[in-house]
Amino acid sequence: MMKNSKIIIIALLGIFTISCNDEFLDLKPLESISSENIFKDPALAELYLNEVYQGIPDGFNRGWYMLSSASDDGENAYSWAASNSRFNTSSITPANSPYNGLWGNSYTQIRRINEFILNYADLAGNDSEVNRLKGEVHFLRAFYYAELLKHFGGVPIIQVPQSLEGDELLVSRNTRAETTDFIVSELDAAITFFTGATNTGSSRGSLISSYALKGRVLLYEGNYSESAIASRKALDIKSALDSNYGNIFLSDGTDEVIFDKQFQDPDKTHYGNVFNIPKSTRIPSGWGGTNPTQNLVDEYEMNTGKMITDPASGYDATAPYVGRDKRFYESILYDGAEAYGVIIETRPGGAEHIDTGGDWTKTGYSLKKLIQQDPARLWGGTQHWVYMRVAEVHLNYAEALIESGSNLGAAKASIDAVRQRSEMPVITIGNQTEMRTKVRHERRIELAFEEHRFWDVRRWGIAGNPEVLNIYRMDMDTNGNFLGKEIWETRTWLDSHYLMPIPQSEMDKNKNLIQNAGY
Amino acid sequence: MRNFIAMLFFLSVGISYGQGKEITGTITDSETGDPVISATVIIKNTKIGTSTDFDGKFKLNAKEGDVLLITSLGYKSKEIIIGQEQQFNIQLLQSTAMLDEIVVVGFGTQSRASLTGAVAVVKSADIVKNSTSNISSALSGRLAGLVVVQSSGEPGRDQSSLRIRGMSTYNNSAPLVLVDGIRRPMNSINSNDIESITVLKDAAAGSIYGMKAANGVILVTTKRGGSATPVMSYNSYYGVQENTRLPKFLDSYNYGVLLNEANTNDGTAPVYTDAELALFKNGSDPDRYPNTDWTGETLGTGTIQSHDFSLRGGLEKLKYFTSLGYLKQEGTYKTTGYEKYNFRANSDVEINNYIDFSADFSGIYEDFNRAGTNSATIFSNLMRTAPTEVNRYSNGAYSEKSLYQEINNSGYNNSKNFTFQSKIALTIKVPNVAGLSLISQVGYDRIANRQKQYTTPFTYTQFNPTSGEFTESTPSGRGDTASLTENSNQGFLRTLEQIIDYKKTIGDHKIGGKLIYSRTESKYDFLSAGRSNLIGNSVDYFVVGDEDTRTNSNSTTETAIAGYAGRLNYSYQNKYFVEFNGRYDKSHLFSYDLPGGFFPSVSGAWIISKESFMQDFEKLDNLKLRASYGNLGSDNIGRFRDLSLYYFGGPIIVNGEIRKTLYDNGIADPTSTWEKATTYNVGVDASFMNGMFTLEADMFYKKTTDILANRSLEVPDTFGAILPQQNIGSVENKGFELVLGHSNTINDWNYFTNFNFAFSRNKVLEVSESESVDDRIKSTGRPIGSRVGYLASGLFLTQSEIDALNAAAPGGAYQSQSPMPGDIKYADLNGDGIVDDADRTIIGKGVLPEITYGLNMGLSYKQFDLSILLQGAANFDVYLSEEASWAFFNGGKVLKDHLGRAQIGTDGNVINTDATYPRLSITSATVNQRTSSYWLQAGDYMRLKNLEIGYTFPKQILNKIGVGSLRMYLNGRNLATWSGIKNLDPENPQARGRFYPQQKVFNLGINIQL
Repeated sequence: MMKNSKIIIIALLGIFTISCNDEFLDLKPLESISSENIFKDPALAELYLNEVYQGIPDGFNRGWYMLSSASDDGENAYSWAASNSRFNTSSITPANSPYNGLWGNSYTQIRRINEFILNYADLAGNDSEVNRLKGEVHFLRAFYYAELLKHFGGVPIIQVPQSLEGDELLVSRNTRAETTDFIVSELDAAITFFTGATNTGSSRGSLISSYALKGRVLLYEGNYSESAIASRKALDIKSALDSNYGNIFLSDGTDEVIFDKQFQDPDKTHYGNVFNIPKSTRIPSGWGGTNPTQNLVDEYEMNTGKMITDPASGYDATAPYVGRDKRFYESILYDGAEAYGVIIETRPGGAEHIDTGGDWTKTGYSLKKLIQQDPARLWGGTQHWVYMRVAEVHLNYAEALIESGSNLGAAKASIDAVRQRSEMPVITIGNQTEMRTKVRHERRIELAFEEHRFWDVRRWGIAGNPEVLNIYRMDMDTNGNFLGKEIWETRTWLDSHYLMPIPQSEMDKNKNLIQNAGY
Repeated sequence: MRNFIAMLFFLSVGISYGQGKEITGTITDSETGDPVISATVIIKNTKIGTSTDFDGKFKLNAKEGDVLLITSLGYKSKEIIIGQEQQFNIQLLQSTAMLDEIVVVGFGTQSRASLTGAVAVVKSADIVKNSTSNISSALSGRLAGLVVVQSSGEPGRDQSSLRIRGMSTYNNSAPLVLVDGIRRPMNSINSNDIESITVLKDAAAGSIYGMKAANGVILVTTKRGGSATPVMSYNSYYGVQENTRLPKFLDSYNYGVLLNEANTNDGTAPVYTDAELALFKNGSDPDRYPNTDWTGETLGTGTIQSHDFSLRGGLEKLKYFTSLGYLKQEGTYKTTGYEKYNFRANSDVEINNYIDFSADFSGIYEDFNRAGTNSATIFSNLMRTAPTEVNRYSNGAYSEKSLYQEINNSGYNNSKNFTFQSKIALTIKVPNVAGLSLISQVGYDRIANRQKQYTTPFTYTQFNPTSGEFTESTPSGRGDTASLTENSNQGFLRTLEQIIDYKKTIGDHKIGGKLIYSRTESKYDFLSAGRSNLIGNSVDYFVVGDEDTRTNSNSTTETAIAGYAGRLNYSYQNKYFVEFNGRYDKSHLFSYDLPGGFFPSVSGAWIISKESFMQDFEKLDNLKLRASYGNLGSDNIGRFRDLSLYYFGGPIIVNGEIRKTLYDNGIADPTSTWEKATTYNVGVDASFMNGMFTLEADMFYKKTTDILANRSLEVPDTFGAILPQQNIGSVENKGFELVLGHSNTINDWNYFTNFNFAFSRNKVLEVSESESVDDRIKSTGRPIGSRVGYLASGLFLTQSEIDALNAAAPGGAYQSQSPMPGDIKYADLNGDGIVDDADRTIIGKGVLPEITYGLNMGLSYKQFDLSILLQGAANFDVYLSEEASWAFFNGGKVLKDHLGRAQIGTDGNVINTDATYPRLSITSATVNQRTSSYWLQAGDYMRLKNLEIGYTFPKQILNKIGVGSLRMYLNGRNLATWSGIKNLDPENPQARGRFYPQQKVFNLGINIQL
């Protein structure tokens, strides 16, 4: 008996001690990769950079509206979208700014880029591949800082990943000039790396995209001569334009596109179609979305090359949509346009009628450019978002030359190239003021709805002008007779809104940051 | 002669002694019928008494009008007023507040008298009354200190969130739930199988569970075998469910009137003419001018039924309890429902004098059926779709906006989940070492869940108002196709425990000790596949799908935790008790190289009422003082935070081809360790007058430190990386609980009432927050989850008011967004003349109620019984915005409350100065949509949570048909809700009101025992 109990006690205590082995607690992750290899193997390094490309915001993803609705080119059909409620009423505050996410997202990606640059000397592989990756990462850094510069002005320039300890976390803003110089130096580094490296198409950075971005940034900052040189270099690589304007935005493979973000079903799609397809009593009906304004519609010339206000243009106010610039038909849906297999009726009482409430078009027009009409694509849009294309480089080049007052002939050549693609007659050359008007006008037409107008009115200083703030819609009767334009709303403008505010949460954490004026 | 006079004298004495007579009686147990031995029978307010013999019989002299007081340990005392009778058959009810009651505690049981920690218990009968498919909701209002919030009524997804003593950390506050000692979800158990639920509230009670116990522990114990006679029970109920509250939307006429007003306020033309408004009102053209009551036409009632069959008994060496249960719950709209099957077999075997063996097997099979469109979308559409949209046209077809097709023809989302649970335990009483036992137990649970979601497009009808034509829109016409996904989740949970237990009594001293080793591991494998662009609408298999749309993915989740625990308790004279508990744990979530965490606690109790100096207080049966102090831990952190890893993210498309992306999981912090909670608790338990009055009170202070959080409120976004979870937070939580009870029996009336009340308030002591944050919106020093917004000071009433403020404001605008009379006026808290972000402050109270209470009352008379539970919560605010509160938001509609809106006169000023809602507007409504105190409402509510009326058939009738007992009852749940919030249920989880409401249930049931 005693023996039995002793045995049992020892046995059970033994179980206790065996159970002391706790290695089963050391669980390892099953589906991940450790950091040592990422910056050595170019294949993994490229996947790492892919995440940075993924982070670039695109125009279909702003928050159920397009930036064009926050400019005088468009009005969003439903009023709760930020375009209507924040931008057009000039009621952006550091706490509610729709761009607050851009600050944080950009710096997250910049940190990834910085991490990459810190380690990319270790990349093994053939020079062409390695140089391409190095060029891409510098291009990406420039791209993100260029977005920050455009939105906020001068921003803290961080080139090395910060450590969590230490005081360097509370960074201060660099000046606008310093930021611009940094961007330019990054693009120059990218250009050096890209020269001689392989080119992998428009979804990744390349030599031409680096030149094009340099031209754009310098133009925006007012350094016209340098901008013209950079844009020229880009045009030297590629200056031809695709013959089909509308198709550039719906097909991934056009030559004109320099830098874009692509999508594919079912892995990566966007909602750009559903929120922009006009609200209709027929199928398919979307959320209404971007409604082009009468202001923009009136900007399209007649195909004789004259503005509709010009008595010699041939404009017929009773048939306003006849004989217009080809780009009008490819960009805008109007009463009588053919789309979705039907004739669009934006007249009062029509299937896509103009209205003052609900999701119906507020201006009498809907968006055609950039939108896929295939009903299967309603909830899963696959058209790419174009960041940069050759036509923009032409116009950047022309504007830089005009602003610097030199070589207006080359400026005319670029503007003409853009016009001739859409079968419009060439312009007549004039003085700097006349050319400025022409290039600005051409820009508005050619680059409509590609998020340029919003920034253009700011850098040209015209954002507070009445013709930009007074938004017009069509006046039409139930029979489709165009009666002219009527005012829809007068928007508000505050000068503080030339720039976006630095997010309030960031101001709360970092007392070294100085907020933009007026916020 | 002398004898005669003596006889007369004795007689007269006898008579003058107040007609005293001899009373005889038998006292039995009301449930089992067994005689109650040694029950005390005394005449109230005298010292005359006796006790019952082995047959439960007694004899006593008493007179008419005397009150007999019968008491016995383990039973409720009973009073009988003596009338004409001389023979009594008295039945005693078993008492629910016995001091010798055995309470389940961590790793074992203890008598209630010896408890030193704060413990609350709910018994089986109270759990079963609640006619709900999930047990977490059944606990509402029954236990002091348990905050239960049910945020959905959807069948199968209506589990309540549980928090013990409120929130003590800003991470997950869910308590540890153990079923029969194994970590299992509470809702995987059939509520009829539960014997009791114990809530361990303070450190002393919970520290034996160490690292997981910082938020308290809930122990669920299932029924086990019983006495010799097997008892077969059948319990069943059938009922009807209704939504408790739905928003009151306005009809289309009022919608039209208000929409016109909104447009007028905006300076645009009214939408509807007077003729159109009249058509809405008279309903003569329902296809063009409808008046649709969306909630009324879409939602309805659903039934609920439950059937449970169990067998409980014991042979000499074997005790068993087996059960089978079935529950079916329908939803408020067809195609949503839940079915559950449970089985259980618990057995205890005495193998020989030294070895006991027990084996428990149980399982649950759940079948959730939901419509192809999920409930959030359906309720979101109900909250938004205007009454001017048609539901069903006059030709019987459903419109595009109709939810009929979304509910009935959009496919299905079906989950079938099977869980198998088992536990085997071996107890060895070591021979020759009295009081020492060794226990080994193994638990193995296996789950196999499968979900299949088939989404199909449907046909709807469109109507052209000008031509009066109906056209059908079919999926093939639109090019819409169906899609299918299937998910499977399989895995196991394995628990291994070894326990050494020792008990010894030496005279007045009692010592006990336990040493425990516990280890838990789990592994779950997840697999998912899908295809879209399916051919047709009826074949729900991948074979009809498009190969190019194939998607698949898989993953595995593993967890592991192990630790040692121990308990030492000592008591002297059953009067003084002291207990030590401790646990040492290691978890897979922290770096393997770090040492484990040690969590000790100490507690003591003193039963004052047993002291000699307390014997004069006759009415006092029991007065016990308790105090405890201890440390608990929590490992609430994401996996692998101590390693720097890269994961594959979403794809990008390069030149038309898919490429993968890699992203990192943030900065690693290999030093992060567990959260620690230190709790102090003092309590007192008292009972008076033989258990007629009971009182339990506890006061606690709990400080949680090393809370895992990141410094995202301190580190600027320019840092650019996901911050590590570091142990930097600290929260304190304090409060008290009070439970008062009273029960009594007078003649045939038995009644009880029980009131529980709990209060807890937390405060953030330390959180990662920048120093430059304004005091008004600082999180430090405030309750967790405080809302930040503007303080609303009513509405602007006149234009001159606005002009005056603008004139005084630097910059010319007091408040941005150009407010007009009728808009909300926000307060300028820093006095600088402008309302901007610097004027934000903490608004309102927290999200979780600080006060919870329940009033539980019951009475029984002969065959009838009645019980009522009132439950309530107070001291919290609900923020209702968007579709739940704002007129015309997101293309939505208007509520009855909006009739109180500010109406603007021709002078531009507000006409009705007592307006309860700002002026209506479509284009400039955003001025009123800032986060502000205007949209906060007090969430305080009280519910008639439960009401049950039952009738037990008398034994005489039942004996004839051979049935042991038969009871029928009517039962109701959530019958009435009183709250300031009228449009939604106050337990609403969501600012927009898009949730499936809690249900009101009426049912009829039956309990049979053979």
